[in-house]
Amino acid sequence: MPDNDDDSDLQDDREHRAKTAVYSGELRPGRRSGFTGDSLYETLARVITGEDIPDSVWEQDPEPRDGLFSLKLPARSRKPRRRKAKP
Amino acid sequence: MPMAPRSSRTITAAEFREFHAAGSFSAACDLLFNASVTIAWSLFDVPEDAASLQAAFLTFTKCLRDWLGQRGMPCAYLYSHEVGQRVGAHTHIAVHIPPSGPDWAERSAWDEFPEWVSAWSVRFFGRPAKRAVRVGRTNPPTLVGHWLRVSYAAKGYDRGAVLRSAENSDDGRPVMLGDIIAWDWTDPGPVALRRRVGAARGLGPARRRLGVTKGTLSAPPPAFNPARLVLDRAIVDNNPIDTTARPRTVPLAPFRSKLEDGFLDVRALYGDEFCFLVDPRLVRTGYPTAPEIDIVKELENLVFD
Repeated sequence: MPDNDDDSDLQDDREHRAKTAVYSGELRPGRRSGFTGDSLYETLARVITGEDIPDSVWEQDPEPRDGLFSLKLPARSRKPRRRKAKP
Repeated sequence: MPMAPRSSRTITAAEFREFHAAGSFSAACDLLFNASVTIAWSLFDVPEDAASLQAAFLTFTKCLRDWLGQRGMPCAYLYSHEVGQRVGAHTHIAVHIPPSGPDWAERSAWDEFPEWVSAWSVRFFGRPAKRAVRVGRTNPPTLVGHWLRVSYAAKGYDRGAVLRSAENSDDGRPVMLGDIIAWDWTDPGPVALRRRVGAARGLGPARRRLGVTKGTLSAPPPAFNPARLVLDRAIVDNNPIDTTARPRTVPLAPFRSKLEDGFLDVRALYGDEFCFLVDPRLVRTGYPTAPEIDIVKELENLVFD
């Protein structure tokens, strides 16, 4: 079914872009997005679903210290939960 | 009289030094932690006193050791006890499981491991418990996955621990224990067990002094005997030409981690690839190719509510 193929290609492309963003450092596991409570998974979900994230919401990174972890991996992030459709 | 609430039991600098040394030694022996197991004891109705939790935990480690031994595999794991607000007392275990088994085996240990952990919980607690046991695995094992697991287990560290004072620091600011741990701090809760974190005996100080852990040499290493080490060294020194005739009598160099040697630079402690994942600013050259692991999948495997 061509429509489904197109959709899945688009989804694959977005996932690829999201993962590329993580690997390149554009999206960092240790970086909050600025949306309340958002971290890696929520941000990735937004990227994957094609939602634009304005630059202004990014939090300022902590000042780097050479050889030490200024940014951290988020110990409490979770996969975005799928919301049940309302009847 | 109501009991005073117990305070959180964080990982001290000395505990982390030992924990990191065990993780470094495991990596040096090519036993990368590629599987993680989290067991929530309270969901099996284990009482939250130290004796009950210790007994339950020891049943798991004993069975794990036996299971690995029966398959001829070295026993390399780290553990960290925590008490969560929702799941109560639980233990994170990072373990090395070889991804492939011997040819004669119908199934490799890698394939069997999740089923074995589930079966163990049913065998010892008489019932399965939903969400009480979680197993995550990565194939092939990677150094990044290894340090992700070690660091995650250490996320309940002592935030006040100073590793280097401001006076002795290059930038005039103290280096805290949290500065060399990659995960956000999380309250570990009031852990009742005597040991907050630990490692398999094969990764402990005695084995590190030997320079090799059990099961990673074709011939078993001799038992540790300081007097014998001195004697062997004397024999070799007096017979420099004959050293090849007695290859096994020359002990391996004792293992010391970078942290034990005083390094605090995370690039020396964990490697550039892991540091790049946590904070790309740490590695100036960058990595043109993506890390071998799927970081999103790794995080899903590790993070336990």
